[in-house]
Amino acid sequence: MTPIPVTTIGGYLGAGKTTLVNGLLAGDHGLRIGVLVNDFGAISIDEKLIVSRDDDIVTLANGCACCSVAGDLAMALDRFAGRADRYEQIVIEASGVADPARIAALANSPGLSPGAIVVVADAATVRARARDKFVGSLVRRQLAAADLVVLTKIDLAGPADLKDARSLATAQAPGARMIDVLQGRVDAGDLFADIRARRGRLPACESAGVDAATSLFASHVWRTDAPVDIEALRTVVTGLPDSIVRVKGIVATGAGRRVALHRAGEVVSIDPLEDAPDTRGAEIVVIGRLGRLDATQLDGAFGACLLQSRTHS
Amino acid sequence: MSRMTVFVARKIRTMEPSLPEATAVAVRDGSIVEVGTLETLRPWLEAHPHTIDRTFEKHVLMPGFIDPHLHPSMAAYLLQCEFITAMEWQLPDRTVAPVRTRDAFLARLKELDEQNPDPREPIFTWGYHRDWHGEIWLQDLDAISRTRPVIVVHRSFHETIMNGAALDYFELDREKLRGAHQVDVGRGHFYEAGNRFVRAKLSAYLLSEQRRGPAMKRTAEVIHLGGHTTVGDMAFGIFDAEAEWASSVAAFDNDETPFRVEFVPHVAFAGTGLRHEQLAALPERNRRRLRFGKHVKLFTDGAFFSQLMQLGGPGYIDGHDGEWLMAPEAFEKAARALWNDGYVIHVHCTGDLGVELALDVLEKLQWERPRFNHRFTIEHFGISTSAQARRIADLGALVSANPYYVYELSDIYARRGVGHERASQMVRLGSLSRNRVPFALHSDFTMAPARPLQNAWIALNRVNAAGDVLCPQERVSLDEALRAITINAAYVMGLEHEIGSISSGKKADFTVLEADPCEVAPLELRDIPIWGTVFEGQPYPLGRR
Repeated sequence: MTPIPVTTIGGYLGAGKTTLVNGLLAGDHGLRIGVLVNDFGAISIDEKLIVSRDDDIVTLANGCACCSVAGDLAMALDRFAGRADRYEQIVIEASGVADPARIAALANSPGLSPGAIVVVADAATVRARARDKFVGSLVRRQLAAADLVVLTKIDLAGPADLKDARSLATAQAPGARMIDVLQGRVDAGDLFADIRARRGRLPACESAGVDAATSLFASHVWRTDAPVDIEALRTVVTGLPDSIVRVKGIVATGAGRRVALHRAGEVVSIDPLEDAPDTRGAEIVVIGRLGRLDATQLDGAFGACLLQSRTHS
Repeated sequence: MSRMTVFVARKIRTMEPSLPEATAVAVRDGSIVEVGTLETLRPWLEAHPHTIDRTFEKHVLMPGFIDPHLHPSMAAYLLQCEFITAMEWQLPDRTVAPVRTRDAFLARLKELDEQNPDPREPIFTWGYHRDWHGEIWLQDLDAISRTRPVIVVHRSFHETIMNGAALDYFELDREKLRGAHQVDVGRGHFYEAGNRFVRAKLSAYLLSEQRRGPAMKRTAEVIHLGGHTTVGDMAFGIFDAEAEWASSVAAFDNDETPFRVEFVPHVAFAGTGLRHEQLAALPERNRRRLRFGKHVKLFTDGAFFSQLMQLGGPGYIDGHDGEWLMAPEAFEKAARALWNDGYVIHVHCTGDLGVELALDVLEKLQWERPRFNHRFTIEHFGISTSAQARRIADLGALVSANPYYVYELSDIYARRGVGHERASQMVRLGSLSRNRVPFALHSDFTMAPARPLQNAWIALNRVNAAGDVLCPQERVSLDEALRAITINAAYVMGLEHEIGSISSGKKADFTVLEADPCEVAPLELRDIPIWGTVFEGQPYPLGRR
């Protein structure tokens, strides 16, 4: 049984953990991640990409799955343990008042292996939180547990806040790496690469951190009311250039059948859907590197796949 | 209208300052018609057919005891275990004598094994604690029996130790569990997070369909045994609201049950409890014995028995930190919405920083939207400061305290926890009294025995299990201690117009005592035998249900 690495995402309430988790669930990282979330309600899952709901586990078209801890994290974690066939990475979104070191220790368990602790900190407020009479010691303890500190909301923090946040994180977690993110946009691939580099599993990253700009993608949505020739669509999607990092969608293929279309990296998958919301035509989201996404060209290529020649873009 | 019954007693302690003592009480249709003497009752008696009932001629009647904070659903689990405890526990069928050494613990286990003729039937015990019982591991339990599953549940419920037969019985794979966090499978030990490997299996066994019903019946017996006629389920929905409701209806919604249960829903956080918008419809379920009011339960800091309460400076002796059960901002947000919606908020607060958070938020809410008669209640009240006692008064808040902490934990927490000053002053009821803060006493059963007279005894004497007197300055008077299990407990629940004292128009709920609390020596208060209770006019003697 291959143990699955478990990454813990900690940090105080409002720091941006859920935004980060949402990014992972919808991300173009090509990793099959099992995510244990604190509060299902806060997670924004594109309903159209849900392939199944099994008890409390929601499985997405990109292979990621999401499970609510529902009061007992350890029990929820055991449901993912030993499922290396399904998940190659587990991410725990710790509660905002948890000590992430204690949460991470739960991964010392059959079928799991403890991974890095990522602590998310709101650059604008972390300094004040670390001095708060109620949560100051907790916030400092959370930072001290970090292998990687993710500073969020740096666009909202003034230069002095940002400097204070960095020096606080350095003081609390002297050995930890630090990255900045804008509006929660962190590239999951880079995130795990960064973590693994630190743990000696992959060659070290060249950059000192993730440049926020490289994490910014452009997206384009193509919609139609008409059914699509799925084999033609497969050919088009397979042939898209490397600058397209992600394609996902729900497509009606005629005769009342629907499929989930998914491309991550070079892998294209088309899976039949049973419980998907009613879609008469198709809705396909294409994500590509900023500046290298040609919407007109995409519309033309997808339009040519219609069973009838009516396009609504 | 039914015929009136007049109970004549040696003494009736009404807990009504206007008429504190009486000897007769007329009851009709579950309510009190009038209390006084046969002489003063005469206008009623001359006008209406009645029966004089002299069953209690040699007894003392008090208002039915009230415990505003316990947990019947947890009790159903616990009461299936054999108690082997360092403290005395009174159970319906017997009194559990304290067991305070390793040898005595193992001897009792051996005895239980020998008494049970089926060599394969599991034995569950509860109450084990290393401070008293030393180290006990799988090998020690194997020496008791190699065929019978033996499961030792720790006093805190955070640990389990079991023998080899139990590992097999519950299909716990030794190889898989080797090296798991907070599991030592070689010693049969599962603790803290590691306890998850066994908890669900033990619960499934103990709370199975055929076991749950009888277990809830035992819970009812324990509640009756303490002399209660009203209890609060102070965290409805903590496991599974619908299952809790269904098992409460099955067990308590019948005429054999001599008490009512007031449910206080636990409002959602961390995936448990009910959502605010689910609360309004709950009172539609109300029945005679099972009721929802407009009360809610919130939490600030961690468990007192696990030393996870949040302390202000200087913290714990060993430097560890307490924990927040709800993030302070989440607590404030939930409290604000409920406050503005008119709910009475009960807040679990165990350490002084937890109390401080609750009071800071209350002060903000009062500033934003003042409410009179809001009855915001601090629950548990383990460690606090004298300044907080005064501030509770300033803000018009109430306290529902668990005095048993003083009895069981003051000694241990002085030595290994918070030091003598703060340990000796835990549950500072004297400070509340000096600041005229109304307070109730509760057991939080299963955390402490559901025995109101024992709780009143602790508040009155502040004697701990080691026999030491802890901070006599924080004692309260006998009257205050008795009010805390009757009229002030009713006040905390918002039911003082219905229950908690004996006066015209109130529910005819009485606890029937064999001696007068005002005549016995203070140290004998907890030993007063309880004959039974009267619930809504109907006598329910103990041991004859």
